[in-house]
Amino acid sequence: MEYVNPEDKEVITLQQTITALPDMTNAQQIIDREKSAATSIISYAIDFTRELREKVSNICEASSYRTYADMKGAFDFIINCTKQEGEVIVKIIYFVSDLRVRWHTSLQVNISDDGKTAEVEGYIIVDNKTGFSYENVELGFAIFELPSAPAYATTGYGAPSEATGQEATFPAALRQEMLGELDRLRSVQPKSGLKRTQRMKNLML
Amino acid sequence: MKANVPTRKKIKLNWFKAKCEFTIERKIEIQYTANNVSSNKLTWDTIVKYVLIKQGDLINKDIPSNSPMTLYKNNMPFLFLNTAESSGTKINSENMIDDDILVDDDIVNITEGDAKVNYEDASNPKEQIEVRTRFDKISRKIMIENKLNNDIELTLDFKQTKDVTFVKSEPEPSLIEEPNYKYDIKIGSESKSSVLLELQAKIVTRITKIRPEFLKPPKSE
Repeated sequence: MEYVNPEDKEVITLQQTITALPDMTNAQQIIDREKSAATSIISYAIDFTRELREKVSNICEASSYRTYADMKGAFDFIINCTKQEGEVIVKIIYFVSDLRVRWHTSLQVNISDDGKTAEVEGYIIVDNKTGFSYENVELGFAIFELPSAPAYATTGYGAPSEATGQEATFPAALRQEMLGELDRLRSVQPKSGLKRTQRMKNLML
Repeated sequence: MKANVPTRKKIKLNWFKAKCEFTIERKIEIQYTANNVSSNKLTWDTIVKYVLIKQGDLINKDIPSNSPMTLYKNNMPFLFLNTAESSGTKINSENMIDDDILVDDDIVNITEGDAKVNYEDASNPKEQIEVRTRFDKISRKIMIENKLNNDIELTLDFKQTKDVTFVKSEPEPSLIEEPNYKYDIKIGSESKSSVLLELQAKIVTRITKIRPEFLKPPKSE
């Protein structure tokens, strides 16, 4: 939590945050039903006009991407306030750790005519495969490797490879929990080689 | 860095723009075994790597390995490759085989040495292993052809092994770091250059034979 007016820090304090997430089983059923409906629309529709086709394909595409991580939750904040009345503006800052937001860098090297110097242009490409749009969001970029598991091979920088059908139906929260468990199991098993440090590197210097 | 990241979309963010020095490193690595050193013809690959020497703002940038890298000349892309490791001062591309540099390695001459014969015990007591060891003098000519329309510089790196050792060469190596013999070679556009290597190869043959005392005497007529 960030205080817009620093003096408000003396007046209000955050006591508790309550996070309410939808039930995973019910949410998964709703997602499956939506996907099935989307498939039916595409299979049985005779033809759409150009404008309608775009709208329908957008809806169907959105449902095919949807996972449990796209379900909306709710936060309740219990705030202690000593101020009798008036307005206090605070900013809530939260960290999104959705593995479906991936990034990679790309370099464009323009070589000069003499072939001895070059102008390098670096780009960061962010691929958001979640159901949410993030407006004016602060981006941080980290390099690390995820433990690979047979069901969902991982590549890239801290993100899984292209979403497969199986992956799409796999609840993201459950997946993260299992990845953590896998890591824990590896740490207690005897190792054949040395573990890599997998240090994160900040690129935005 | 702040940005709008819409759902199910890819966004491209400008990260940096900087000038740097650009070099191309080419290398031919040659190593023989007792089996292939006497082959009539061998071919080798030229390994090419593009190196960007960081300057200015670029020094602070750490480029992740396997990032796509596109080389442009005259505003046209000419090579698509990936980055390899990036150090504090350099950004290296991945190693690639240079298809425009051809390397032919032909035998010139073989002078077989006298074989020295030793015997070793075999697992079967009635047999023995005949070990024939000889040292052959072998000359090979390595012809490098530059098919590019510009001059190139490359390093030919001959590595001697326990079976194939260096005797002499024409030209002389530019640098000797045993067991490596390195030649810095400049080749003009659409030109050829050659290196003649004189080598000594240890050739060992093993044949299992029945011991003479167990050989059946020839049948008398």
